[in-house]
Amino acid sequence: MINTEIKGTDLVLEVLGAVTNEFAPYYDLKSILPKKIGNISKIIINLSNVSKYDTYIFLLTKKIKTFAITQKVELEFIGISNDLANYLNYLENIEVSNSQKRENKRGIFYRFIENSGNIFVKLTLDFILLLTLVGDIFRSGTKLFYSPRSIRWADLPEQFTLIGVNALPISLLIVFLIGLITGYQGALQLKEFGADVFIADLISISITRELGPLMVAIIVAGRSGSAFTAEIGTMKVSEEIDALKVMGFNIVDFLVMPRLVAIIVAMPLIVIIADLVGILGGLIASLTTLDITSVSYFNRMQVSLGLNDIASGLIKSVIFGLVIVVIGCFRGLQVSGGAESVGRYTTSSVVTSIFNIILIDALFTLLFPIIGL
Amino acid sequence: MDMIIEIKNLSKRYGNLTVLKNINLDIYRGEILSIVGGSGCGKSTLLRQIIGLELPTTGEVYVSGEKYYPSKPKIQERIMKKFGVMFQLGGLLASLTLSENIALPLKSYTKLSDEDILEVIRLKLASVGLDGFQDYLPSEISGGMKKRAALARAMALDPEILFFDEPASGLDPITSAALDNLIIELNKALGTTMIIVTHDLASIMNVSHRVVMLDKSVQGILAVGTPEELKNSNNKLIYNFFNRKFN
Repeated sequence: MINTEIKGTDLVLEVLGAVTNEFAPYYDLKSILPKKIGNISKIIINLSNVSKYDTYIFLLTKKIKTFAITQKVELEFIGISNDLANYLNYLENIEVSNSQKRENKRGIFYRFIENSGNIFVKLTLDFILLLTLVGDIFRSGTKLFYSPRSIRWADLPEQFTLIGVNALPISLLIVFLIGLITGYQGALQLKEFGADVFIADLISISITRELGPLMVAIIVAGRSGSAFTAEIGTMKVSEEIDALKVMGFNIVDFLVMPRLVAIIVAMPLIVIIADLVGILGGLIASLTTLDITSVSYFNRMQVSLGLNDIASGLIKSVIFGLVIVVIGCFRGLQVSGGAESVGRYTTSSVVTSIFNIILIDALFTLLFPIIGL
Repeated sequence: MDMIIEIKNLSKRYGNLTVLKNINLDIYRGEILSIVGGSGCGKSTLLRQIIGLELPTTGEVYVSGEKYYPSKPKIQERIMKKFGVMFQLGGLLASLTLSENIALPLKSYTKLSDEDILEVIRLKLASVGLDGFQDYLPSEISGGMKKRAALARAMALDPEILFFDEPASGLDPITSAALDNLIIELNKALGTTMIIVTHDLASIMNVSHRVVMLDKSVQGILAVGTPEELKNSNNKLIYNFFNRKFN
């Protein structure tokens, strides 16, 4: 705490106890220093009873100094130990030597313009980087035909297992449940109109054209897209990507192409099996809620479900796979700095992939009827 | 001399592997003590036991006369606040700016006003020559600057004891010498006890008041003395280490 005493024209501030960060509230100068200085011509700070100190004592004495300067009164330190004097001098010197280095604070408008410019530059550079990556992928893709050994095929089985085989159980379960849900919801409506048998149309077309590929793509984006970003991002942070470049490897050939080939093969396979399981889910819902048999369900399905429905779903699944790989790897290559950046880009990778998948799905829904699919 | 850390019969085993065996060491208030030794001799392990990041298998550690290990977690937490640690890779939180990194302990453990906290941050960064870099992220500054920023954060609460894990690793000789100078200055001005784990011979000779040499052969302390004493030691192992000889 601080004791104050006025001796003639002197204001004596006696600083007592531990002047440390921990006890800062006990040294609140606002309640101690007078608002009007009156006839005081000198402030005397008595530091002889300071039992302990840290950086806070420098802040405290600095505030009193500032007050003395603004009030145009003299300032005197008394009872200051050599150690404390050295300590305060040391911090004072640091302040003086660094005060010139400080940048001028910029105004809000200046910062707004600066931030907007930075965001624009970043987005433009990101777009250029994305186009570059797509271009590189296209070039590496064409190399598959005339120089297949340039791709790292050894990675393919592992990637196929990670992207395809490991995603199969969860994908099938989800598409089965979606088939079941669609079946129940559809059955309730169709029953009203006595159109029970058309449940087969509803299930088979919605699963093969839309729900099967979409659900599988969302799951693969969540599982594998995030993994691509996290793995490539971590490789970037730990300079593995730089090491590969220095050794003469093409990053796209080495890291992106095995994933791309694996996903192009895996996605349609998962979707085909998922379509079957989804239709099965719909069948179970139909048999339990509607007055139809499994024979009539499949007979009706044969009539309504065309090869174009299945093909459109499979084509979409390949495109979705490409989107997942491109965005996953692109985000991974954008990582810079440390662990936090890896986490940020991994989240961004999943969100961007899912958004783009749904956007592309909407475009295909409009486009496919035009080209007869 | 006033003792600040006492280590009594400290041993550390990982499974069947004994890294440290019966370490007894007294560290004095205000001294700069370097812990040195060949790779894998247990320097960093000893540092982690003293700091309390790992628990010793057996033994006792006292800080300012108070039992730090074994003791209750609450007591350990309180004592730990007397420590500041500069980790080998900095340990700065990548998602926070330098200013936020330093503000973290200040906001959690002190009752300083926001205005005072900003002032302390500026002072701490200025004391390591990083004034003006408050708003930079750790990823935006160089390796040497990261180390200095880590030191500024370690000093945020004005700790009684500062630990340094390999402060010179990855730094060029000039930056390394500047860091040595900073350590000496801080020690002189603040009287902080400093415990440094290092390999860097020049740094050991420059900054240390005392040196503790560990060695695998004894699974513990091979020698304790001033840098000059160890450099002129009759023990071949110590002599070779301090004179950069291999036979």
